[in-house]
Amino acid sequence: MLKRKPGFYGFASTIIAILLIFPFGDLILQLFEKPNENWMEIKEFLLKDYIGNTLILVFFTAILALIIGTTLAWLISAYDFPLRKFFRWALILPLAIPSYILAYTYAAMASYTGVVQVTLRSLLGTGLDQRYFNIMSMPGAVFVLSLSLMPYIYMILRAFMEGQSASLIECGRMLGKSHLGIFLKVVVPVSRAALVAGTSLVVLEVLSDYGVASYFGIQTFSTAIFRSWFSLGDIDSAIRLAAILMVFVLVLLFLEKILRGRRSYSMTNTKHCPLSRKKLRGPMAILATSYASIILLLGFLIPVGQLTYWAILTYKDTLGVEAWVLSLNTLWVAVISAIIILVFGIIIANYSRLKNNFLSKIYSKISLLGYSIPGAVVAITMILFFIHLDRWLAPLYKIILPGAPGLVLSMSLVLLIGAYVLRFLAVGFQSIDGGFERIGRKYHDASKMLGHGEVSTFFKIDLPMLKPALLSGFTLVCIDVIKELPLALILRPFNFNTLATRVFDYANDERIPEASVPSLLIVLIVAAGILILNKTLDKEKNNEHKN
Amino acid sequence: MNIKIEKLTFYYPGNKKPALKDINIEIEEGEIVSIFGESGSGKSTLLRLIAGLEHKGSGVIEIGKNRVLGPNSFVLPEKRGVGMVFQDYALFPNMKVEKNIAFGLSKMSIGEKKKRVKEMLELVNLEPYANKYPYELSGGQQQRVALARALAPAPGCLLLDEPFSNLDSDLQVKIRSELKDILLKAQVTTIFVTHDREDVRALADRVAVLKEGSLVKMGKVEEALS
Ligand SMILES: Nc1ncnc2c1ncn2[C@@H]1O[C@H](COP(=O)(O)OP(=O)(O)OP(=O)(O)O)[C@@H](O)[C@H]1O
Ligand SMILES: [Mg+2]
Repeated sequence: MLKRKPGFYGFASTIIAILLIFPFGDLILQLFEKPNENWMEIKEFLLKDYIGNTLILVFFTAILALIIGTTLAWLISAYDFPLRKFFRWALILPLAIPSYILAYTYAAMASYTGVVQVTLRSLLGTGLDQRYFNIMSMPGAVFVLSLSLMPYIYMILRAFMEGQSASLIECGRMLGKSHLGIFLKVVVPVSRAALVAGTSLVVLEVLSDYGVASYFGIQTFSTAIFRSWFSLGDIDSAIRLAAILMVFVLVLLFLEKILRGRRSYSMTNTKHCPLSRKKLRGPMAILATSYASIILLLGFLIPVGQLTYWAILTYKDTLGVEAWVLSLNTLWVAVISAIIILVFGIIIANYSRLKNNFLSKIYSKISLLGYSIPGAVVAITMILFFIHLDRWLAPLYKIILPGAPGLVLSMSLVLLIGAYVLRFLAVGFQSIDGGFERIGRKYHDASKMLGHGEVSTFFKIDLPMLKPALLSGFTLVCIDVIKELPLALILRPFNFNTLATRVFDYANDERIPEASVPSLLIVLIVAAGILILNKTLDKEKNNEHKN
Repeated sequence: MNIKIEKLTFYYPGNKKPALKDINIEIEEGEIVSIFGESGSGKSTLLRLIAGLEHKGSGVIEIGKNRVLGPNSFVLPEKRGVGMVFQDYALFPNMKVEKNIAFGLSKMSIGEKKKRVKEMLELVNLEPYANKYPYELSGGQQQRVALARALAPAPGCLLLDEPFSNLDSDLQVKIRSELKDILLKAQVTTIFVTHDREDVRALADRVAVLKEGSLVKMGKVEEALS
């Protein structure tokens, strides 16, 4: 047997990596074409606004989400107060409401006929002046986005504080620092990497947002890209905007790397004792419970309550066969995407675990790339790529599909699912990679020493031990796909709708109450996924303590 | 089976310094040889090369008549007929003791498997624990399961990496003599890694002393350790 046999994993990883970066080639090539007049106009008059609005939205959302997320994580992990256990998981729930649904709901609630204004008018005889209190504005978008994205920071930081920083916090306490002192002097510095990781997730989500900004009429990069392409038919400008947005993202990723420092935020395996929580009493306890309640109310309970109320009013018209079709469409697109992602993720993560060489590191980086690329850019990239692919395959279509319209793949679900795989591979890959890291190589080696080859070892040892990681990867990808709006909106085949696109269509027709049934279906499915995930993660943590 | 290692040199990828330098060792059939050295001297690396878990070494390794590593040959670990007990045992946590031991017996029929597992459980004195999961066992019991698992397919040679390092010192003494009995009963060529002189004295016929990747001494226990 020869030494250097190109293995299956190496070969398959290479193919996947090429598939992942190839589409971007088209995008980059287009940049070298001569710009058109439209672009000159955008550059001269509009670009300033796009950049300004995007930066303002990103900056304030990040700040507000950071404040809410860190204070909640600190409160939950360092103090004991009434309902703490409940809030510990319930505060993740705002993640179940996609930000565009939160936006529509609040906008309708705050409108002239909405519950807020009507209540105020009946109580005080006068409503709020729409000039000063207009949710469909930049502050409104910041409010909505930070509420719905704050759980990212809360979750990462809470996990971190419940994990390895506990002993440091204990040290701080022993040294007689006050609680606030510990928070500022100990917790914030040691959890820097976790904070940066959470914040960059939030920033990437804001850059990717289309639903909130477009509904509130804020011109950001994402909305501008879509408008150039779909309203003005100006592909060239859309591509240029996308390229500039990518520069932003690269700067952000670079900043993240610097800010994170050398420590990665993943937990080390050192044994840690749980942080002993300080019991709050009296007014402080009431304050803590109230704070957590307000966030949960604003981020989840109030909007869900309002959606439920609308659903009761409208379900006769909206909860029919169509709702089933929409749910099924949504679910099976999510499941197929998740399965493809898990298979790709397993191949690349396993290659990187077994080889751990330069090439495998690059492949890992490529798998993580998609999540940083805003949905608008992914959408453009995929369309360009698939149109070219269809042209290229045209002779083949003539033979096997005579009479087909020219664009076979671009008009099919393959396009949408491909985009999901590109965008969310990172989510699945990270779960699997983390799972492999936790298992390590030793069981694999042990199995080989007992006479089992690569294939048998994979199915008998690696796969069963990877099950929790696969389950959480699967759930995470499904959640992301179900919530996703811009890709579904643009890349769906003609006459194909998902829950998210139906919500958008209703909202665009100013039929917010009718949007409530598909919205609630999304929230229910996603909330169920989140709770399952939370359970498995907690169980896994307990198992680790047992071993 | 006898083992022959010639001019074995090995670099971990990216390292300038070799983890093993020009190692020559010959081991007779049925011998128990200890590899002794400080932490980082390359003991585990040597075992992993014999096992085939690392494959970029230069030099020659022969197990029995089989050249498993050479200029143009590399035999995959699963084809070498070598058993190994890992430093932290690496018992499959999702399988009961029974299944762990049976894992290397996939070529046998169900009946043969049952019989062999029973023999091995008797050998290591763990019959009552067949249906337990690894985490339900003590450190010493886990170590014996690992041993039984490695011996079950009747390997031509057995490799043990720091077999006692995870045990309390009281237990170490007791297990040492048990291990000696088991190895003598199994009559298998054994290489075991340790950094404890007492282990060497209690178990080994000969000892190879490693220092910074080089073989500095090889011979009878008392001579080599002095
Ligand atoms: N995967 C690896 N990659 C790079 N270098 C490694 C790797 N594993 C070990 N080394 C290096 O090779 C040298 C020998 O390591 P090895 O694990 O063989 O030592 P050891 O004698 O078994 O030590 P210990 O008694 O601590 O287990 C060390 O300098 C170590 O740093
Ligand atoms: Mg070692």
